[in-house]
Amino acid sequence: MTRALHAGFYGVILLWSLWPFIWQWVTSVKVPSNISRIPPLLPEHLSAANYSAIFSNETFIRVIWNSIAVGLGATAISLVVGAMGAYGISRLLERGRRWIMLSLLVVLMLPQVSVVTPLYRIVDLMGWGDTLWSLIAVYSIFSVPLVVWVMYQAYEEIPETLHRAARVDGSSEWTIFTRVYLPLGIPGLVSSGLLSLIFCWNEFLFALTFTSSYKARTIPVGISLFSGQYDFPWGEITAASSLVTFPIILIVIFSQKYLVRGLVGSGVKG
Amino acid sequence: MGRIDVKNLCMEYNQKRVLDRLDLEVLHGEFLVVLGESGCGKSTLLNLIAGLREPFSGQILFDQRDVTRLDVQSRNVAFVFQDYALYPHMTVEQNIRFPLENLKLNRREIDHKCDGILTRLRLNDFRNQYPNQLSGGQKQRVAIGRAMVRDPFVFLFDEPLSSLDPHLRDHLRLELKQLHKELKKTFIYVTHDQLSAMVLGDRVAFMDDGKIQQIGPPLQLYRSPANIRIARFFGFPPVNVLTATDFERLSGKPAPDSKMKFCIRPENLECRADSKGCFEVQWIQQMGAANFVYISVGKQTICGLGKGSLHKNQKVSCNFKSENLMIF
Repeated sequence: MTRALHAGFYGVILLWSLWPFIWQWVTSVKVPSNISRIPPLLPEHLSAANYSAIFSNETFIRVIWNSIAVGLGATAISLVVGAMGAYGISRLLERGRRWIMLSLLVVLMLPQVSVVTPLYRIVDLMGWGDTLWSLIAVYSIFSVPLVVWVMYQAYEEIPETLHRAARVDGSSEWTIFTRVYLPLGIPGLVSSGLLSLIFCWNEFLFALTFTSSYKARTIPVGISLFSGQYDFPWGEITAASSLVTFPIILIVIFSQKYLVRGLVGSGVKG
Repeated sequence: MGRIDVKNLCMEYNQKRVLDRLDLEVLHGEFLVVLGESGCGKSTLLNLIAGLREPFSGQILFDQRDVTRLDVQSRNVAFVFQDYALYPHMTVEQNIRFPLENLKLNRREIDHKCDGILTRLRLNDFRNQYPNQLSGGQKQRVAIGRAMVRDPFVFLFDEPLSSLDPHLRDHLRLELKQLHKELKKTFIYVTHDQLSAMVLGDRVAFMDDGKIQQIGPPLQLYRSPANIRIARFFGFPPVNVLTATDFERLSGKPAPDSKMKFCIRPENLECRADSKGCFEVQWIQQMGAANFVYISVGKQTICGLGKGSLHKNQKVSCNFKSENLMIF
């Protein structure tokens, strides 16, 4: 009896949280003319019309590439800067670690709306309006602290004797970083890199504000601008949305271990 | 050569004095054990000799050359850590090559030296294994191999055996002593374990309050300790410390000085069955090779070496030779 109750309970929760996705997938494979018609609840036959429409849509392809470029660019910058920064804070600073870490945390927690105007001004002054660079730079501001936090935890878990041992073995700080700490911090790099990628992939507010054409627009903005003035192409929107959620779902399924470690900060030994 | 002189060394952490005008001479090729309780500053001393930290004041000389302000890279010391600090992501061979790669030697030279070490330490079969696949003894050998590959001036050991189980510890002590004989290098070994000090050291330096309290061969510290703390530190079961009145009760003779403490080691206090004896056996600790008996003297329970077959509540009499008495 309790088992049945449990199952029912989980079923309801599952349906509740998956419903938007189910609706989206079902809609995306319907024939465009049947989209708003119920019944049938489920399409009688699967149609790839919506998918072929968005793939032949050059603007949408462009938007996907923009997202990939911005995500990888910002993540690469954050990993390089963040990994080095975390090493410096964790192993080279004698004092003040706490304050640096806390101030980085503040950056992570800032409501994005509160900084969008000043950042817009800065981007404008630099002449970076409507470029991928503006997004890469701004996303880095937010993902560097994320990487620093995750990597700091990862480095703190490495026994301090390894640092001393490497010094006795005649290594410079740079060698210690590249040959000892970086390789041992790979799990941390993976998890913070994935978190950063997901953040860049999903970010909407800055992407909307700093871009004015499809030259630099990313997926979330691109999809939101699908709707024309008179029509609302549900089929294409749902097909595009399904397509871009797919990589995130893959990431979450295949790298849960790393993501959880990154999100909880540490505690799980690698 | 491998002579080290430490002169007038002072060190502070957070305004707390850890080393207080410490002087120490380490002779070439000797195995010196620095013994002391945790927190007495012995690890700090080791880190200063290695150059991992800079002293507050004082001097460190390697063969009369002042190295006090030299950084660790230019001192050429070997350091074996408590946890061995092997690089977990490198194989045995890579661990040993690492110091040589830092010296920017050419490949053939590195290969040659590395092979030499692997053969000498019987590590050839494990060269491609990672540290977590090795036994405690193999880890120690890799740590020493990594340390000796650069032909260091001195080997420094920071309690490397303290976290291991007793059997392995015995075995590794033996190996370490053997290695010291082969290498003919200066070894400085820091520990809080008196047994390691007794077994390993050519000389033992007892450290307390940021100073060396006594230095000499292990038996000298054991037999004629400079103060009561050293006396208490050595030996198991621990030394008996008696007040003048209890001493008079035990020996039946007047105490030479009523303010002093009288120490006698259990193995020097012989207890024999004696129906007229004044003491009664409280309990017996069987150690196999010897059995120790505990008796009450005044309000104190003291420990002596049981002679012949004894049982609980038996009357005994106790004897000791006056040369074994330590008075502080």
